[in-house]
Amino acid sequence: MIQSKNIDFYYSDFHALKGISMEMEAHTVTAFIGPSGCGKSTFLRLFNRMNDLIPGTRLTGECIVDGRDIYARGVNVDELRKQVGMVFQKPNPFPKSIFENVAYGLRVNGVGDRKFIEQRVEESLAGAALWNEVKDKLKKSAFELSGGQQQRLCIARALAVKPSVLLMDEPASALDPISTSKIEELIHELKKDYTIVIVTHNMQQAARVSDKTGFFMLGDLVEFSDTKKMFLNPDKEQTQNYITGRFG
Amino acid sequence: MKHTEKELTGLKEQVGEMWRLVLSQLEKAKQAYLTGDIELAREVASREKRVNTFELKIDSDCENFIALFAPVAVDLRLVLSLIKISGTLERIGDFADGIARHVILDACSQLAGALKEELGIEAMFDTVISMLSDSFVTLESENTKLSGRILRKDEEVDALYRKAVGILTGHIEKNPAQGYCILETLLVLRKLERIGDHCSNIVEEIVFYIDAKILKHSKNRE
Amino acid sequence: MSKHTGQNIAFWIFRLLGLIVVGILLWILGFIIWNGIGVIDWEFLTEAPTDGMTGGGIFPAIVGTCCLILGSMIVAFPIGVMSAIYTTEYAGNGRVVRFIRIMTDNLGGIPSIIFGLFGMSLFVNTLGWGDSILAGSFTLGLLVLPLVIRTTEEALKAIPDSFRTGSLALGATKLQTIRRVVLPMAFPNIVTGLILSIGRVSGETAPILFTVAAYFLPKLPTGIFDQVMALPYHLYVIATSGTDLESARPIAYGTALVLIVIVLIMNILASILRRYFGKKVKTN
Repeated sequence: MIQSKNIDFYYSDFHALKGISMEMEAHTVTAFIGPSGCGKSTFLRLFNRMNDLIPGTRLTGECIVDGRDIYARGVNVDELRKQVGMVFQKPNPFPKSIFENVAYGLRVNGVGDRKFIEQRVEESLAGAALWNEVKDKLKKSAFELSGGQQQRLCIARALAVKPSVLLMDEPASALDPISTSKIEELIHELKKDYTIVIVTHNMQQAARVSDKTGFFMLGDLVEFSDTKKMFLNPDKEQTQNYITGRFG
Repeated sequence: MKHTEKELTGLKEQVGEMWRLVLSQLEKAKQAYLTGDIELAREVASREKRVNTFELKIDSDCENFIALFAPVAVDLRLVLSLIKISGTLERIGDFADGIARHVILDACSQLAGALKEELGIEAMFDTVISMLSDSFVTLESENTKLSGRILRKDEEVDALYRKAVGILTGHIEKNPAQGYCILETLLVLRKLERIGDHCSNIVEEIVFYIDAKILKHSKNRE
Repeated sequence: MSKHTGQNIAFWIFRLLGLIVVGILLWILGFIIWNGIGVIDWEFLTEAPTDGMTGGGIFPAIVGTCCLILGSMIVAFPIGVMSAIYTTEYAGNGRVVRFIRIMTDNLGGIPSIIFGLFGMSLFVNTLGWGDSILAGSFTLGLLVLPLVIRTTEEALKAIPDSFRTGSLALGATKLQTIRRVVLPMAFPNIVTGLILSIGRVSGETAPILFTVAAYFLPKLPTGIFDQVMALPYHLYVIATSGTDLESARPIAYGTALVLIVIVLIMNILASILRRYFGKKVKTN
């Protein structure tokens, strides 16, 4: 389970997130929607502390993943990122073979047992619905795959270190519709084993894949409710205007 | 105005036109029935086709809108309710047509005006007509405060219908020779009662669209 | 005058200037080859100079230059790459880094003779290494350090951040990310920079003047504290201060040709390497 309590976040002077509190249950898909710059990606990146990489940021409030405040002192960020995997907007496989891409997370975490790695690579590729397509060319460069396959490879890569949470930052925005629908199918499958949080610009995608949806605007969490309710009868006028395209 | 809104306004306007047509059909059917005006009744029957055409047009426009615009939230609720409303209006049009055909048959014109008076047929006509026009106002103004009153009127119609059935039962015992015409009259009453039900369905759809509340099949209609 | 003719005239001027540049280059090359090719033979490349440097070969100078290239790279490469990694990957964009960058750029703008003097005073005299390969290598290493740092920085900056975040998001540390993802990807461009700096090193005269170069030393070096001859200095010597300038002239052109060929080979190697690795790690 993921929880945020009264999160305020600043980029230098810019107040990017304003008092966000929400709870995401295990084995559900939560989608964040909202206009560009509304803070949804920033919020997503709090949960694997990716914002740490940006200088001049400041956070107040609590971010709790599986019962632990991940911003508490003494938290090992590298361990946290193993537990909370992430998939990015543009597929970003490493310039290595398909096999080595998936094995990467294990190798940097000190796993050396070849048998174990092979088995985990297969599991992860199968988990990302890619095994059948690549099993005969594991030694080939990851760049030989199509964009959609690369993105699924990145998902497999994240799965290989056995996270409990999977963060997805617009995972299908650079893909064609068929690849997109494969990713969406995959999200439905992965829900059984992972807690998934996805940021998307595509509202229909949020509607299709998520159980709950949060609508962000100007750093506020305007509305957070069941996806079905959100898309049939949102509580807030602002939400309605945004999802029906009457925004601005 | 955004493109989406233009499309939606267009849909709403079409439904409004259909509404006015059905309303005038109903008013003319009332006129024809009460006065036995066969010419007027023929006019109603001949315009029934236009009502049907309207329904088909609105249905296909709504389908296109859903396919092309993938509406959500209030837009989705509006389109869904417009589809159902146009279907319901078409049924109401059918009933007006049925009443007009009854007049055209001219088999029961000798039925006493006094009986019509006693049955409260005019009152029933007036009530369902006001239900239909009030529900149109509700949609146009996007204000559901009228909805409770409309739904209560349906209960009035039902009460009038039950009372009329009692009166007709007594009448048929006294004048078995008039049996056919009495049954015909019962059918007209039945149609008016159904129109009342359909009008309440329309109101329910409008409330679903505006407030996203589902009134259908719920006891608590207030 | 119409827009079209104006454009044509402008392009013709540009074309002409471009051709002039190429022409000058070819002229110099042709001149050197024409005058130098005559003396190039196996003996010239493998024997020591004789007869007051009017005869024999330039072998010790070739060996000396190779020693200096190797030595200066051993000095410049690790320091340069590591400091570039520090400035691009770790240090962010603070005041310290900007200061380092400005100083690096300034270092690159210092005339090479100053490096020679500095090398002489620090390595030769203060540290007591004497005129030696060691002192010369350090001096040349310092000279190309800004170039190595700059090219390495550019190579590292060319790697999109998405690869770094991708690696970090998998629980890799920053060092693991740099070692396993960033450096392998930046490698071809780093090597290119390295080779370009080799070209620079092999042609420099001033820095070795006071630190390593021998006027005439027909034997090969045996250790890092030995002096050596070097091609550019040798060329300078036989062209200006030999015993018989006229009869040494063909040898001077021959030496120049060898030097140019070495630099040319290095540059060609650089572009081949860049193309080869560039294809291998091309991102989509």
